[in-house]
Amino acid sequence: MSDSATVRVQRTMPGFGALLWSSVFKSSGLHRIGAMLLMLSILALSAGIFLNFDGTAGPSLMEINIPWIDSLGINFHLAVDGLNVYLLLLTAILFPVVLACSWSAAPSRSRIFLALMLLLELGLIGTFLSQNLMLFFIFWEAVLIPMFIMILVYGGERAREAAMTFFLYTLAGSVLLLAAVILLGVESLHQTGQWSFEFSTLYGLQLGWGTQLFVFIAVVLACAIKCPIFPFHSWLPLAYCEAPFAGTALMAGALSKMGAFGLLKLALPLAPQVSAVMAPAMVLLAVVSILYGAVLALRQDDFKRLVAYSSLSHMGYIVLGIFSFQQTALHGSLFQMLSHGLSVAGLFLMLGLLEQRVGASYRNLTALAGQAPRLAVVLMLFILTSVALPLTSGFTSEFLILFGAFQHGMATWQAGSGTLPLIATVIACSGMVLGAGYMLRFARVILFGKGSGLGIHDLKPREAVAFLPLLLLIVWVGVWPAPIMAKAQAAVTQLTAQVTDFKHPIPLLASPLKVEEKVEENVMNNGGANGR
Amino acid sequence: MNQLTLIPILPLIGFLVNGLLGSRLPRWLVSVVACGLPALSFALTLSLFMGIASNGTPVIENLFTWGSTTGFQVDAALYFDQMAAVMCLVVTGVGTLIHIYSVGYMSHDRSFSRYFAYLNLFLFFMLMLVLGKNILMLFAGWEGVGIASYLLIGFWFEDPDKTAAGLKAFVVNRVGDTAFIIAAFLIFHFAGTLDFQGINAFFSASQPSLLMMNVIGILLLIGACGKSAQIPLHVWLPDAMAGPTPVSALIHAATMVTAGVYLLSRLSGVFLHAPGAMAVVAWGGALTAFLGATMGLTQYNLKKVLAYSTMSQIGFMFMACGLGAFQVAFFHLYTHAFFKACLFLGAGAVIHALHGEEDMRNMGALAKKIPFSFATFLLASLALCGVPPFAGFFSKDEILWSAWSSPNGSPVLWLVGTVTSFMTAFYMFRAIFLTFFGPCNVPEKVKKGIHEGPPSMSIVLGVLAFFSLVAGFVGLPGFWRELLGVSAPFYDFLAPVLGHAGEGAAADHHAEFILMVIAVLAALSGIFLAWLFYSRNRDWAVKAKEIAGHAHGLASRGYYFDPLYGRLVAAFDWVSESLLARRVEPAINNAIIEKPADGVSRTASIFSRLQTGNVQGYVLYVLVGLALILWWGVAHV
Amino acid sequence: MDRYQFLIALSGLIFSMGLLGVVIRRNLLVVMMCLEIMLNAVVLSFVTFAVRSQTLHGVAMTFFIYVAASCEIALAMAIVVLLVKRRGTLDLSAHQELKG
Repeated sequence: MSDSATVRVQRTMPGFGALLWSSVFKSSGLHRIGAMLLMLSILALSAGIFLNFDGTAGPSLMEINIPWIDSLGINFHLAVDGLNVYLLLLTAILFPVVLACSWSAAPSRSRIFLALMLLLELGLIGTFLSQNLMLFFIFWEAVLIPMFIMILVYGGERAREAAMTFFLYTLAGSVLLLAAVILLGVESLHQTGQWSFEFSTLYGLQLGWGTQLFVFIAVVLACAIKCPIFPFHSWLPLAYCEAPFAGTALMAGALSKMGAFGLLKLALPLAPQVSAVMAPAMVLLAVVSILYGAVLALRQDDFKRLVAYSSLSHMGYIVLGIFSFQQTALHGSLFQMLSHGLSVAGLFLMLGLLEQRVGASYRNLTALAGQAPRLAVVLMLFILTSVALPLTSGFTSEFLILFGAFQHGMATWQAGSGTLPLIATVIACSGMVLGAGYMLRFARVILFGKGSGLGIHDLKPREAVAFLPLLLLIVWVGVWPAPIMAKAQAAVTQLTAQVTDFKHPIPLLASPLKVEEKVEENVMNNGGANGR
Repeated sequence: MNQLTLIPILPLIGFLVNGLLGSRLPRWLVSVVACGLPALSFALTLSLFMGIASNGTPVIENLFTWGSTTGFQVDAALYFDQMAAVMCLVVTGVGTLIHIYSVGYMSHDRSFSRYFAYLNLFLFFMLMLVLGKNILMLFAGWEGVGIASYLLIGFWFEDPDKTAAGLKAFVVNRVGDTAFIIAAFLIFHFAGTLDFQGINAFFSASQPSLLMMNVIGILLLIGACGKSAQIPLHVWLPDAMAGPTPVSALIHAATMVTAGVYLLSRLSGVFLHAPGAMAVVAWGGALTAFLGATMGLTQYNLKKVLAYSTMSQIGFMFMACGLGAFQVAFFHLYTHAFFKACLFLGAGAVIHALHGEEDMRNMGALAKKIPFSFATFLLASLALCGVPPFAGFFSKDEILWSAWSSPNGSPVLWLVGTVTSFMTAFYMFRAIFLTFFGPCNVPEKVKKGIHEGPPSMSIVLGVLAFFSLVAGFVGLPGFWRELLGVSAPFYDFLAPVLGHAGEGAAADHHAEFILMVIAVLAALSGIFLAWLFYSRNRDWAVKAKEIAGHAHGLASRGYYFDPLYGRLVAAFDWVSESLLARRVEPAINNAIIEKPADGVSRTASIFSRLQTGNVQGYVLYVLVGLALILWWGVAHV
Repeated sequence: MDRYQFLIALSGLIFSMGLLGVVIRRNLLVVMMCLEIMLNAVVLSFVTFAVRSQTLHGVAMTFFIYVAASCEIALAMAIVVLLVKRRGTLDLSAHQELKG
């Protein structure tokens, strides 16, 4: 099994290259089908990996590790582990679904668009799978380029503004991240004697208080913008509204997960002490995001803006779960990434289909239930997932997050370390009410009412088939999450251990400063030695 | 797959078949699937019930592990004990009857299959709620019935009022659900499990502080209030009458709204150790019973009268729960399911006959035109009013007796209960006199078409009326048991799970008899007054209304709960639109996007001023730069 | 002050004079001449160090510099001629279009 799986991963990446090549340069009319086939084969590979991955074997099982810039410790190191296995599946599913939905839309006919989509998929999968920090950063930034072009070229009226805002904003967030990446490489040089950006090495480093703080701030800033979390969400409504709907679905479904994933992959393990200290602040931000997004979504007339703000609210849950350092909450966050990816992509695709059918007047649509029953049912299912109805993935994830956060809050309270997490969680629970409020209001406006006689075509079989995998996964996670949870269990245990090892004796002032001084001495000494 | 699993699965299959293929199937097949599968569930329940009645051991079915991680495991498991058995019988039994009734009632509707799909979906979730072995399963069913109710209230989705009512029901329920889920988290924190047996065992063995117990109790109560339409979360129930009448009968009278009582009884282990919460449950129940009845007095919409009556009766059940007499609450739940379903279906027959007219002022003199519906309606009303020997008499009387005699009870509670039952009798017979007697206010056009419903409707009415008559005999109060020398199989059956709490004080049969007589007299005088006001001398009613003045206005407007919540929603909307969208969002955009962008361009304009185009100037800059670098290098060597 | 120090100081002085000329003179041709003076100062320092360290690197550099300088002046003169043709003056203040 392990061999075949390894081969699978190895084949995934070159496959992209090949396709990029063919879709950009070959002037054949079959590029759309070619892209679809490629995405489907990636889906097949990823699904195979997902099903075979049992979580207990650790990250070494399915990986490729090719030295790239050996002297700097930068390797082309990709591997599947418990944290990224959901996201791999999510990305692999979303792309063919999105392409199928925008099959007849104008952009899908152009080779550039397809190439951009594939480049995006490459960047996303690369980000999620990379086990080398520098590689991670390269993919992280590489994702911006296709997205930027996609918004700029295929976007709406204010596409230029939206693209620039999105690009500059996210770029600004990751500038500091690059500094942190380099800093970590230098740390590794000082502590182990050689350059290394491998996560496995970096996790083992003893980082001083100041270094951790810098890394934490850099990572959180980059991720908070990417997610986004309040108050870094300004680019979100504009970008989501102006991007072509395929782009929006991918941005909301997969791109925003990079931020949450970055928090899990970088912030917690690399800066565990600072994470523990900063957790209340992050929880507060998360809760503010939840409520802020939800309240704003209550009164949005533009459906896309509404879903965009709901997305802000749902991303808040993920962050809440991550910073609760609690196994159930972490499981919940992982599920929420998957679940939100599926539901929000589904919602945006639905809106996109409507936009395709009636143009810009989709904003005034109403009474779909009477005119296009199949479409209405699918839309309703996505809405209910978003409302976190039991038996959908939304419930599984939000329940686990709130459950874990609450247990964490109670534990913190009883340990005498403040009631903030507890109160924040209880307030976050009220997001359930608001969520039901704005989503069902949305449903009421768009689905119910008297027919407006626009003559909406119902879902075509192609489109219906495209939504099927999303819905199946939603129901699977909702009804029987245990087998999926088992895949992430090892990673979650490891992650909580990494954080909670440091958690209780919080060395706020005394020891970390000393450590930091020593580190600085090291830096000076080593730096001098290198210089000579 | 064993019997127990099949009970909820069968309606689910019905939902899938009707939901996915229904529009292509012939109507008779849709009806057969929709009614046959619940009937099958009922048969299975019955056979399991026989088993549990004979050997007394609960049936447990572990399906799969829902989710597990370190220190947390929840199984998808079903649990069929005595309490679940009673609920299950009611749900599948009444549910099947109402499905059959609906075949006739909905026969003219375009979305026939969609209706039955929703109804089957509701049954699935309700059975999941009832059979769930742990809080998570119950909660899944709990929210599920909420969504089924949402879909069914807004079933005629072309009417914006109806969809708004569905929305309101779901959101108000969600408020309760949020409290419920927080209570579940708290329970897990202490007990370390979500399993009902584990929870009850844990809390009877050791309790955290009294405050915590009360907090848990109150939170659970809020959850139950949402689902069971208790004050202050009752506002959705009257609006929920927008749904088709059989739906009101099934969901908003017989089964779903009583889920709160089921929840309280399921977690009786928690409540018995939370005296404060118990008192709130009891007094809150009494308050709802009373206010519900006063609101029922003033309504003209036939279904809304029944809705307020439902609210009021569930208030009685809550009162019994709060007094620790869970088995009595359950008994009332069980009898109430029959007579209230019968009342709603009777009202449905009236509405069906009048082609959708619901206002009682436009009815009258229908007793002769639809005698069978009238007879069943009358029987069920008598049961509701607590006139012996109908079913409601035994259960309501037992509740009143508990209010008087139980250690937590008080004469005031009893008095409130008795006054409420007087008002109940009054408003029910007010409805009967307005609807079935007096002058006929039905428009001429409709008048000719008045007819009894199809056989499927009448049979169901008959069966339910029959049960309204006899269902009470399985749980005779202590006084009657002694008098007749029989036992109360209902209480004996539930004893293993709910105990005989509250029965201990029943020794004083003398007092019990006197109270019983007073309650019956109250009910009869209510009926008499209604006759006086609405049949004999209609002017009196108008005069009474004038005398009541503000009180009448208060009650008929639902004590201004709706405007209050309307304000709350408006406040949220204001925050959303006027504060966040207009003020905060632009401010954040300004601070995070525009300000930095401005800063960059302003700095750029400063530097661009250096660029004069004069070559010599540039050389000078180079010179200065060079000099600075040299200086820095010299200084740092 | 030995002769090396003297020569380096001289080269610095000439360089500074050239620089000053480039910055303050108005006449294009004079500016060009000053540029050449600066180059010569650099060459002088190269040669001085070459002699001092007894290596040939500095001397070799001189040839490269002169080759580069002659190419440069050939191009520069062409540019000057074009500029003068455009404005009819050698005054630098007339040529202020070098904006990005």
